Amino acid sequence: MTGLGAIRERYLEVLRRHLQHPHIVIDREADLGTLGIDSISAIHLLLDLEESFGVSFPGELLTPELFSTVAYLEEQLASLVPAPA
Amino acid sequence: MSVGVAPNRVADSDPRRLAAATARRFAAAVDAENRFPVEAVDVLRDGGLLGLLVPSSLGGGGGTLSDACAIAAELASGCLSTGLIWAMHSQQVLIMADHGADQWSEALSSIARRGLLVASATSEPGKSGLLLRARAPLVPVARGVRIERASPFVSYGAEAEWFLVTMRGDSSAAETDARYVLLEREEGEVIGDWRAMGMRGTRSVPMRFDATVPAERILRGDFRDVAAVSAVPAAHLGWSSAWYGAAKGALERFVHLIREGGASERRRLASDLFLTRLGEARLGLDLMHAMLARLTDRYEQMRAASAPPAAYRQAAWTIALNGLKVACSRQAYEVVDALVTMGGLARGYVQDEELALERTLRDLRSAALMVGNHQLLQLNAQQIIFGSGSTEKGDARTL
Repeated sequence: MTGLGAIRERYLEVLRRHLQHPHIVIDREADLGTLGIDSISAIHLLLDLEESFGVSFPGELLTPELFSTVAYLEEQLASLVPAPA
Repeated sequence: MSVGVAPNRVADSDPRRLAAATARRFAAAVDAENRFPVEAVDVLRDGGLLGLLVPSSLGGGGGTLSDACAIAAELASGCLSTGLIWAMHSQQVLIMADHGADQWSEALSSIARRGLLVASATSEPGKSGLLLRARAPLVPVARGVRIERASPFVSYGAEAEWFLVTMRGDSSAAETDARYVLLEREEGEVIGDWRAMGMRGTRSVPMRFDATVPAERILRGDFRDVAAVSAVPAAHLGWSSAWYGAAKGALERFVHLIREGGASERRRLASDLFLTRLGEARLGLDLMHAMLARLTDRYEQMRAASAPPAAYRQAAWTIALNGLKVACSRQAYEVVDALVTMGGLARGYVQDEELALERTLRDLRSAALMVGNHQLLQLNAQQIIFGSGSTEKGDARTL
């Protein structure tokens, strides 16, 4: 599996922990709000991602857009994860 | 506001922002060395801001008290001492400009031209903090009047060029029959030090005034009008703005830490109690801001309408203005106290210049003591029972 594929798999695994219905099919372009991520669960999702991947989202990324779509959050996360050697 | 973000980088052409950044940059040194914030006040002077409230016809900025209040909040966000020095100076200049523009035009132009600081000497041994009373009497002599009086706390007394001193009308007058007298630097002497829990930069030293001055130095007009129209509103609006700014700056620094401090600082957000406290802290700030904005606007409306002095003595206004001081002095302290709790021993209680919560809390402890809150609440109670506060006319809705 490629590095990006591994990130995606773990990302979706973490994301599902914060969804109201963990087993639904996740549309990559879906708004996280429609999947049940509200402002409080967004904080917990962020903390969970930072811990699971050992990364820190920089302050400039901490905007409502970060949680706009499943794909956008994944892109930002992937940009923080160091590439495998 | 970017003031709390980069304390060591000061590069800005706007004198207001530059002064605020300078105040923030030197706040720790001012506190540790128990000294006057000379760097920030120099920026205010060089930027022509010390003459902001001098009428433009006398070479000043022709600004309003609202302008001065906004600057007080900005300065205080990084250094409450600097913010309060600014607020107190602005109060004295407003009094002079409102009531002595003709009588003291030369002094006013010199403030604008040379950026001179004006201090206030209203405290007296054995007297309560109330502005409207004076004990030491003016003594008429051949060449004018003799002033002989001690003042236990004169903020920036060693740095000011002019002093507005309150004196009793004469030796047979009541304490409530007060006058403002304008004294010069060499007519007063600093007789001690200022060693305090906080607000160290204000250098509120004890002084002795001993001078014979011409009668022209006594402000003409009714002292009670001066107090109601200018001195009391400028004090309460200015101080409250500074306290609000200090609490706002502390919260901004804390939020910056959470946002920029990486995952380790962000772990705090996992606690619901932390989130509740953060929401409460912001609520405290917004309550202060709502009251401040309302009363500052109301004050400027009364001035714009050239309201008579009686309008400034209305119970509803007096009660609200006294209440503003009590509320902001409490609320600002509570917000920073809550931030200390949220920061814990590691970031809240220790001297940590990134957050500066420890210093800000010590500084804000003075807020409830500057004209004791209990005195203002008792004045309000008197207005509620005996003033027009007891009638529909005194209701806050009529403000």
